[in-house]
Amino acid sequence: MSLSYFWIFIFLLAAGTPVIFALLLGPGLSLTLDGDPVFYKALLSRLYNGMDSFPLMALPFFILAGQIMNTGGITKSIVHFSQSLIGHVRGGLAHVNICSSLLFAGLSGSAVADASALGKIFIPAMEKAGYERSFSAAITSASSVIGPIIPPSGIMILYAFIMNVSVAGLFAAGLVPGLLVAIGLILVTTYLARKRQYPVANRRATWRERGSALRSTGPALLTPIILLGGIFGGLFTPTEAAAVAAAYAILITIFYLRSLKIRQLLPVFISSAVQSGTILLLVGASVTFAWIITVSGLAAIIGESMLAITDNVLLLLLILNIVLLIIGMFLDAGPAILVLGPVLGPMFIDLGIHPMHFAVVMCVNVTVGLATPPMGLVLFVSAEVSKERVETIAWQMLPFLAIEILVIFLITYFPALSLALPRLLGFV
Amino acid sequence: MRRLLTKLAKINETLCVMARNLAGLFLVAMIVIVIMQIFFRYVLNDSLIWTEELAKTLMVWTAFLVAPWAYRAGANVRIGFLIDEFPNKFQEMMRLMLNLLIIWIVAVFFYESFGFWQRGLTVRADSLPIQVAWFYSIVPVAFMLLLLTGIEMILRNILSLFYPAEDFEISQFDDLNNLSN
Repeated sequence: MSLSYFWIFIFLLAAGTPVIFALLLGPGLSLTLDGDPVFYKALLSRLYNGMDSFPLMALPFFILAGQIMNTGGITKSIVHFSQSLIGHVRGGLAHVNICSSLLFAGLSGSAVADASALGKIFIPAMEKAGYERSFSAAITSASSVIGPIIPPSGIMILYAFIMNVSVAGLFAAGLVPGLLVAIGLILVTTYLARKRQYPVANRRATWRERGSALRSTGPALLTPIILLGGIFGGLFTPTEAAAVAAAYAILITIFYLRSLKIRQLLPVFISSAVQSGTILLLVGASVTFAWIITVSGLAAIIGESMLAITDNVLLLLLILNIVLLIIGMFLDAGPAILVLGPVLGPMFIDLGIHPMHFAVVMCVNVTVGLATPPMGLVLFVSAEVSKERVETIAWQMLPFLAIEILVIFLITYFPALSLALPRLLGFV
Repeated sequence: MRRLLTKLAKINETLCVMARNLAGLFLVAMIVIVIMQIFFRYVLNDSLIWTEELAKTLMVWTAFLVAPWAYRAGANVRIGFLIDEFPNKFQEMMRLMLNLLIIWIVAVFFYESFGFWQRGLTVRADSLPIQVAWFYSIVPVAFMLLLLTGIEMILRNILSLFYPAEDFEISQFDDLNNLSN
């Protein structure tokens, strides 16, 4: 079979076709041109069976859990709690922003959701406190990257599914890199806050105030403990844990915080179903596409041509990171993982890179790509929330981006950073 | 042609929103089923065998049920920055061409879905006493709806080549957008 499908796919993407249809049309058109329409049967059954997976179900459940927490005001209570902890240092609100992203990352698995939820709270608040609006938007974008690296993570579920590695193991592997990103951002912020004399907004909160902030956010902060404890302890599968998280989110917002009424839940269910459904269909179409990539030998061709450049693994990893960063600038993380995982994964695993290590490098990389100018999706979200131009935010992003790229290289060349925890827990 | 569009748009809007809302309910059903699975395993010490298969099928249905609405509302991920730089007329021509390609592939899959369904008649479900064809029955339904939506989109594309384009953009008919964004 010819490789025309790949060029058709690229052309259709560039022309603005929804990715889902481009994934189906590429192989579809190319099969017709080659005169192999018998394959259509196989395309359709792969589209269906590609979605028919229990581990994949964690994705809609986590999406629902995240949306319930957002509409139920849990985001706000997390911000409040973070503020009572570290709001009193120089550049306090910027640190609170990072801290909230970190805590929120344990509940949600999507950078875009984090950027929009936290951006709506932080950008106006920071501007009022005397920060530049573009800086506020930049720190929101930069810190929301932590969301999909710290478990639970939507893109890790996708990666685990399409590349057949353990979701629980991958979750464990993301924990340390996620913390590294957070620490890196805090260091940069501390430096910038001193250099630019960012305001000290609050007096130090008393322990009593901290306690009362904890009371309203405590049940929400238990979620990651239930989730990760349950998954790593072998009590639940990640899918079951995700269902528990969603049910738990519903219970605390309705009965404990009383911030949502039962009739307000229906729109949340529907919009979560829309969001999950569109991603799931994309998964099915990607499975189809990945199958065509294998059948046509494209993966092998790409592998060979990369090996022709060099056979030094360290150098290849460098090339990989650059390629992924560039692709991440243009393509959403989910589709990037689904399409590129099967193309690039096998080659690096053959070269002796641990599959779990490669998975983390790839997931962190495309996630950082989301916040990278010019086309990062997260950047657009915070531009929209802040009404600030993407270019201005991008400029302010540079120091944060530098540290995030540094973390990517750290986890690329020190596999232990990502592999130690899953090893300890017995996943690899 | 305008009248045809108005009629078709009305039908599509009703059906797409119904399908989408049904998907919302299925999502709830999935959670209930998976929670039941955990409850039976740990509390009643009696693992249910049918929960995984049923929940999985509901999830696939969710995806297919949402697809027509997402296509119509333009909620699918796409890369817009290249094409958005071109002049409006060119963009409209391009959209027309892409939608023609889309309904072609949708029609192909619609046609194939009957054979797919039929093959399902010979296979029994793993844990439920029915043939998998019943699981597959969403496939022709979804592609039928996608086909109708695609035709509507093409009518809109053609009309907006000759008349002001604003008249043919899908109005934000949706209450959810406020909530989800």
